[in-house]
Amino acid sequence: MSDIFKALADPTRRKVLELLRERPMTAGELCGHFPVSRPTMSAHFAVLREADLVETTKIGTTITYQLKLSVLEDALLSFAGLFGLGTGQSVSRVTGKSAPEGATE
Amino acid sequence: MSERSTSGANWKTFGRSTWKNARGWLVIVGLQIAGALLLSLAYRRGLIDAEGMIRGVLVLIGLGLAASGNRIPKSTDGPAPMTLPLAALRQKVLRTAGWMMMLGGLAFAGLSAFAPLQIGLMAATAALGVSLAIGLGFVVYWIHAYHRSCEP
Repeated sequence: MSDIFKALADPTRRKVLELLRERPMTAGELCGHFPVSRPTMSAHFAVLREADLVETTKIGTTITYQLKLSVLEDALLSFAGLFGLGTGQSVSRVTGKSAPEGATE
Repeated sequence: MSERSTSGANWKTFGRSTWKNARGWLVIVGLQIAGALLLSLAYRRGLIDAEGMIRGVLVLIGLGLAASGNRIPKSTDGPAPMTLPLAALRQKVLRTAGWMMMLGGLAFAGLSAFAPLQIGLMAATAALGVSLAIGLGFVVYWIHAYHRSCEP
């Protein structure tokens, strides 16, 4: 459970989940929405995968990210976005100056 | 990388995730049965009246439906989708089914708990039916739209 809160506490990861709500996307497409380096984004993806909030699927030769949120996690994501949880931590992460907390890659 | 999908038909991981899902469903059913038995015992011992027992069982059913709905979007067993539009369709269908079943289950539980028993059961069943019908409507519409988009 703490993995889920940790994953949802970061605004970049929340934004990734919100983008995936619209449709599944490739890593490249997702990276295009953020002004951060690919390794930083890769670390964010790893945190989301560890929390079991996204699923990767190989379609053809590309790896596609898909949402894997339970209804409560989905609601929690909406609430977190609504109340701006973790926005204080966003500056250093969005600029890519430091690796995301809990990143394993 | 998520084990199952990235390596194609990885049946070992597929089996593991299926078992994990099945275990979740079994826990929900087990809790419902245990709750119903406890309510029955409480009734026999005179701790609650017949109406309390009936309401309790109905609330358990509603909460069980809500818990099942909560798990639906995470139940991504089966072969991985072959195309991006198909993956998007699967995601939409699972999310809608989950939300509608959860909301329907919560409405069922709430009405069973607080509405007068005579009207409550009918209203609860109607609420559940309406939410499932809305969900089914969306699912049918999306599947239809997907097939239409595939036509040349």
